[in-house]
Amino acid sequence: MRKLFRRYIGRRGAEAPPPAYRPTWSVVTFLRKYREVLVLLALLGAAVVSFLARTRQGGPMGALERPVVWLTTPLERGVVWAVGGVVDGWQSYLSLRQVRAQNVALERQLGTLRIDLTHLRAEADENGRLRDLLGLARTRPLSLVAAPVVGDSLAPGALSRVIRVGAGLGSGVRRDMAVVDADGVVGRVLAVYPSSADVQLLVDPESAIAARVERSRARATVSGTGADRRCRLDFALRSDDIEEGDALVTSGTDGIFPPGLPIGKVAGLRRKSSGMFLRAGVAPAVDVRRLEDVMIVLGPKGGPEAPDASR
Amino acid sequence: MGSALPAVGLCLVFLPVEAALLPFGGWLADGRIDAALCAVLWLAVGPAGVVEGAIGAFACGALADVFYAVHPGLFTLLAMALYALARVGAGALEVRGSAGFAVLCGLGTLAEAALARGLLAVVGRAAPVLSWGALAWTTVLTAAAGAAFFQLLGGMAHALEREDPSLLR
Repeated sequence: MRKLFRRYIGRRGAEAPPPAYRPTWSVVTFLRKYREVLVLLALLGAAVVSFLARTRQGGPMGALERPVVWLTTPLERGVVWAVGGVVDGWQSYLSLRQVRAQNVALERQLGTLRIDLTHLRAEADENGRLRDLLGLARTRPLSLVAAPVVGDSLAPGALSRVIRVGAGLGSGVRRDMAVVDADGVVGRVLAVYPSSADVQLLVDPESAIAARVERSRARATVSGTGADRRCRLDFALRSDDIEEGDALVTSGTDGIFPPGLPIGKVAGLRRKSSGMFLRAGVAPAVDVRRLEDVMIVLGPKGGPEAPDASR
Repeated sequence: MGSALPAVGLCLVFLPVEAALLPFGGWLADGRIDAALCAVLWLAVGPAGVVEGAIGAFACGALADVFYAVHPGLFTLLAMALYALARVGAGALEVRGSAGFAVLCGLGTLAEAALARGLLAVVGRAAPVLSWGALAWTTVLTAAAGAAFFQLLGGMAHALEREDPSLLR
């Protein structure tokens, strides 16, 4: 270093460096030398930015997600069809032994239900007439689209409870639509793809549904815990009339779920002597582990019709 | 990209199949086979170069993000972090066989769970911790699958990179 300094800088009025001297460093050589490390760091940086910039329920769909889901949904459908067919066939075979006894029992039950249905129709008519008399709007039936479950989230339940269903933009499905089945609320649409959609189940740790106690009309929020058979009752006032086993239904105040859909039952109620809210669990009406087909609520009937996704 | 293609292909096929089978696999409980992790670790310790391995790991992570649906970008970042860690440690580890790779996949599963929890805390999401049983089950399943994937991916990479015999004549 000392020699170099004397040679090029130390001497006043020194001449230009001899032609043999060439700078050994340049951007090009640097890039060539550290190309591998730079690519690795660039991709790592892109991953960090992607992670920090996107939230789970917002932002545009990633450019990669749409083609990947488009490409893999048929594969998922095929696997579900094949495995489901085998499982159904086996179960059908097993149930053949008891089918005669079940048939008799079901016919009896059907008779009872027919009578109940007649009563309920009469009551519905009466209810409608009374609502007309009182000037209240009649409850409009819902427009639904059927969708088979084609996949489950690979993340363990404690992190995420999301399923993929085989109905998407083409069937009229949009984000934040309610998803139900015959037993009650299943969840809401989280992301929509051309022929499929991700549904956030009501047991997802980030799910929250505005609820009402069917008996006392007390209001609360049902939040997911990540467990299959357990939700949590939040923001229920300690002074509210809530009892163990009370049925919970959607209140409709969240703007996603129509009012009156069954959510579950109050379980494990604990009323402390102090504090504003009581603590309780909720046993969901829907068994999320046994979902095969769901219905997506497109809106009240009378809106634009959507094709049936199960076809 | 001959070495990265089998890893990305494995994710592209295995992840949707596993997602579709989960509703029928009650016995799996909270256990999962983390195929994306196996693919990323194979890229780190296998024949892939740094650049193609990094690109492959990024793609595997992005694919995992689509099928895990936890937080967008989480598994891409985890894949890149684990790839970088494994690549740095690859010199010291010297994984040559299925058994060694299975152990690496098991350790990777534990590291991934810890990193995921830390990263989710960064974005203000207090993720519930996996139960020890679920974590142990996932570790065992991923390690066992890792041993099989090691052979499969090695064979596929070898087949892709085999020279055309006509050139030798």
